[in-house]
Amino acid sequence: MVRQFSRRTILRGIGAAVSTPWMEASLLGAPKAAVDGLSEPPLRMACLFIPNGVRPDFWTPPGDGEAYEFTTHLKPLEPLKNDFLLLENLWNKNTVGRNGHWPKVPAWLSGGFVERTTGGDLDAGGRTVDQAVAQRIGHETPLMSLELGIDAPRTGIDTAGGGFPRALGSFLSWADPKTPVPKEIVPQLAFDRLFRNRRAPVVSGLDPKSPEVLGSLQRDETSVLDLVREQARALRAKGSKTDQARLDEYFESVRSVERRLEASMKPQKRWINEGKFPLDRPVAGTPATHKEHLQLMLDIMLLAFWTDSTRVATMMMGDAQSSQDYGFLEGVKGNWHGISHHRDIPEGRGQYEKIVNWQMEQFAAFLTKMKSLKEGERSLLDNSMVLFGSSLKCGNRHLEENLPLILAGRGKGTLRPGRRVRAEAKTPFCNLHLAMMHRMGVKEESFGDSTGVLGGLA
Amino acid sequence: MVAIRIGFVLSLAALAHADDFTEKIRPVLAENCAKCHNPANPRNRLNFLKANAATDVETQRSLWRNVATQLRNRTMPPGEAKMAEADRMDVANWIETRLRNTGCTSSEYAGFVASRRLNRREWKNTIRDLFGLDVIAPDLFPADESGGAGFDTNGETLYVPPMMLERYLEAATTVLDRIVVTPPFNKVVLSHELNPMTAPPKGIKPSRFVDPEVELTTNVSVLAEGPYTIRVSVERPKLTPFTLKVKVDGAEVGTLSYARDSGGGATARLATATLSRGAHTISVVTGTERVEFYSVTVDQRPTPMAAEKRALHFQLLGLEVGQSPVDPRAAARRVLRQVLPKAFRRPVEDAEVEQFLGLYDRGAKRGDPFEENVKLALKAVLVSPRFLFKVEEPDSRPGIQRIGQYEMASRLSYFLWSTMPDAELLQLAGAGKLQDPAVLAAQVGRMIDDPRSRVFANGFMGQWLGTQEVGGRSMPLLTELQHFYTPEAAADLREQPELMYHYLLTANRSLLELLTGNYTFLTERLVKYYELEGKVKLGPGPGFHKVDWPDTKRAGVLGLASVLGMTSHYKEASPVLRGAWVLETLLGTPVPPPPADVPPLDAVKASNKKLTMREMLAKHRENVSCAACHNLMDPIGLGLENFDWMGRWRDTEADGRPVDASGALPSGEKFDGPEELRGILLQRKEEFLRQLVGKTLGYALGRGLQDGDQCTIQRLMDNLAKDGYSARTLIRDIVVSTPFRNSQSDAVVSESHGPAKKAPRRLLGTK
Repeated sequence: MVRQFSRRTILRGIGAAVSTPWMEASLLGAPKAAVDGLSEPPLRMACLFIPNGVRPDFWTPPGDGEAYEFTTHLKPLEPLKNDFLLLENLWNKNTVGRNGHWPKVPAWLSGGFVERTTGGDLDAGGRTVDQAVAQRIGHETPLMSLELGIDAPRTGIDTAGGGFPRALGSFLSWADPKTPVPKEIVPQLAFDRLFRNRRAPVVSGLDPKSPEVLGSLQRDETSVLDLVREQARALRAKGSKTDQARLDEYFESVRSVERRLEASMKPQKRWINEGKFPLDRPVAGTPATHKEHLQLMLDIMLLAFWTDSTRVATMMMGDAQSSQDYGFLEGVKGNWHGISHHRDIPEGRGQYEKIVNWQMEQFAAFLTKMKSLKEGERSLLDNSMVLFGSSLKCGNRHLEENLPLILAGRGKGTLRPGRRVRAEAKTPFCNLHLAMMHRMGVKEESFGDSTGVLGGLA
Repeated sequence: MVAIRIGFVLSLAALAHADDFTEKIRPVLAENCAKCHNPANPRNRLNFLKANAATDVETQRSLWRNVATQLRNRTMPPGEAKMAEADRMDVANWIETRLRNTGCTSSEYAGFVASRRLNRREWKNTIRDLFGLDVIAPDLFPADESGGAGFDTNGETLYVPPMMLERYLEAATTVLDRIVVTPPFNKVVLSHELNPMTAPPKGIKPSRFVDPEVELTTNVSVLAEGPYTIRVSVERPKLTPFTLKVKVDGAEVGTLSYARDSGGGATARLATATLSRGAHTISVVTGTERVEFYSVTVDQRPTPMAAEKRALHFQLLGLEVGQSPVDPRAAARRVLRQVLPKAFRRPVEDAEVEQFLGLYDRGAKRGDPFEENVKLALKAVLVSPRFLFKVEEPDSRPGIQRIGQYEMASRLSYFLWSTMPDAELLQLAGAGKLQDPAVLAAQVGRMIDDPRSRVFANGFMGQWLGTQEVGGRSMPLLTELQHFYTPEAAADLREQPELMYHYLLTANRSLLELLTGNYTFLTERLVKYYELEGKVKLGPGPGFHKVDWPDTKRAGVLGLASVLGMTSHYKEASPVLRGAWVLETLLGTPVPPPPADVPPLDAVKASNKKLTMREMLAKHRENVSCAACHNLMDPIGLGLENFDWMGRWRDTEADGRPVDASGALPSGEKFDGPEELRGILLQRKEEFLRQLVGKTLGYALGRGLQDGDQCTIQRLMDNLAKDGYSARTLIRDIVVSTPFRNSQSDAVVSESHGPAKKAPRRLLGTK
């Protein structure tokens, strides 16, 4: 059973009472001498997703200038007004006129055309931008990328909603059109993932190829993987073509874990922050309240960035059709998706607005924390690009046009925040993806259904 | 322009007469598709309009299946082309029905089942049967995807990303740590052995003097993650008390204080730390005083051990906890010889045992304890593809070939038990009897009678109906409902359909009872939920009891609150969702998503606030585009209007008006209330059974169903009808069917079709 715990027990928990040296060592950054540090902080990219849309007239400010008034939904971000761009008129054309939720999730970061299948031939239409970046630069950090969320994946086919596999709505990140990247939803597992391969150095000063190191405990997993990789190879050799797909994936995963283990034994060129990040190892289980759960997952993302464990992360603040109970908000009764279909009846609509505003408050708190984390002269937020938004404009009517989107941070000086950027109506969202890819050092000519690089950001 | 309206009603498309093709189907397609798919145009590659007769459809099956899919998914005709909604559905239905009805005209089909990873349920059960250990799998792995026929047994969607492999490595460690007891770690480092080392002391005392602010270090390699104590033994300070800092891998874990004692003598203080498996550097740093050191001792702190763990340890290794084998390597080989064939679900050659023994040797060479070295070898067993995948070694010969004996054993046990084959199945496989239909039939009977078949009933019904999500994503728990809808009540609701299906299996009842059986399984909590206090009498004892419903309103799955609740909106039953659910889930007729240009129901309601749901839907159906589907969905859903959004009975609407649960299907049948609606559904039992048979077959095979499977489904249905629709007949017939017992490595798998991916243009998107 899942154990529940309160915020207080986390703080009193394992980190304070029993210290875990390898973790603390990791939190402090590895011993300076062992690591060849970067001379300046790297650029990070985060994508935060909310399901179920927003109320359009509470989001989009009137007028069309760079300056704008803060609408109800944007109000919580007002103190941060010089730290983000409000993006307008972007959309994913391939999601138009299909199911209200499921295909819009993989398409959010890929722009792909999601097939309506029963799963065997699952095809999300494309690779997502975070994975496109991670596949290129992920080897520079212990984790290629970090995928976080709140809800356990849904299964089955949505027979009441047009026959799409529900799995589509549970994965923001796709390594390729057929392979979703599972997200971590349990705080402790997510936390441990950051440090899994960064235990103490083998025996410092020894050549990684020396017999002592090769025979050491740390290399045991590598030798286990060597053996099973050979088994997979033998099976593949016998298997038919159809059978090879999954065994190939297994084989590739073994190699990927091996590479990660190898990398953990070598000093990596990483950015090391001074001081200690204020987060203890969460206790097992799912936190008792949604708010604690969400904040903890977001803290873990910051910890990952701050320790330079990864430079690419995604977070689903709820899966498609999230049915999270928001009864904890004053005056709200019921679940998110249910309330999002308020049919413009004032009572339900009022509850919907409260839920969206609450998401905005959480996002604002996240950005504020990022801003408070200093990295040399600047802040973590300055060295990041944080995309936030939803895959539909209006939760009630599933509108696809002019998605509600925010791009926060200064992107290490490649973004000029504090403005509204209005693209032409119906500009592919992928133009923004391409712009972010370029900033992350992945120079592609196109991405998804992009028609160019989104300009006006700098 | 609207095409010629096709005359027949959708539900009767089951006939799909050949004549209709030339008279009705082809003209509609010609009008809507010929512009691009002109058969006279040599550049047109999808030449379905070349077909002139129904027989052309039957021979070009995958092309025509594609046509139906494109129509149903609304991916064709594209853009501005307007095809009447009713035509779209009628044509798609005609094609699919025609393909289905003529399935057996093509050659025999077995299909190909790729090696499938164990899903989370199967992994947990397999570990239980392999080691006797119960683990909580959701704490270790994310939930699996489902696909194919919509189940988590579907191999194509059981992915193995790097994260899963990491989890498998960790889970293997967790499992083995919980079974095997390794002697606790203990290492004493004498003062002169601490770095920087000195010569051994020559005096009587084994001590060494260390100056202030000096760091002494030592390396230890521990085997298991857990709490350790670091004991620092020194000579008591005679004059000035002092403190020592203890660090692990450079991080401080404690400060030890030594009080003044004029008498002197050795004393020790402890620091504690959690150490991960592997090498660590322990250091002790002196303060302002010079210190006389004796030793540093690292001890694993004992963890309490249950009797159960001792038993598991003995069962696996054949040795008591702490007992060492006389010949460790031979003992390790014996353990591997026992575990491997069970773990890999087939006989294992000696050479393979030796491979795993190589890992034992790796640890033995380091001088690690026997138990740890066996664990290392077993860890590789648990992440091996032969354990994690249901491997079926393919037959290189073309065409349909019988699968091997051990493969049959695994297919059977994972189908009906979601776990590894038991001793009897393996023994029958060894004797070469698992392709004998009589033996297979007997095994199916035995396996259904075994309590483990509940796992099948749960996995199948929960996923088919979608009720496994109840209490989570479907019908979420809400504070305002906690007086009757508790987590336990939700769990009971999930179990209801599973228990019903398991009853059908064990008692060999007719599968039609899923529509008509006027009984259910209730707990005291559910009596309260369904507001049946005083109306039903449960047997003695806690838990579920089989009871008849007090009246006939709720017979079959359509009377279950789980089904009715998950097809409702918050605080509002939805005839549309319920109708769509019946069509798709029970009858296997997918309803297309709404076209892009119609006003949503919400907008209708917003402008007409006083309308009832019934009136609102009627208004919606005035739009011809909407009517095509809503004519089918709405009446069915309206017949269930007596069930509120939580599936509880109601006689009046929220505003006090009496509920109107009458309706008429497009085919003309009229009904009033759920009982009469059920009667009409029963007339469509062919569709229901086809759906149920297809779903069961898909679950059993672990792959998506292909065109070629239509023939198998038809035969299963024919047999089922002859045998009074009995639940066991279906399971038995699936097990002896061609696709379950054979493999066809050259089987053609239908492809998916989306719009052509356009090459991107180079334009800037912003102004």
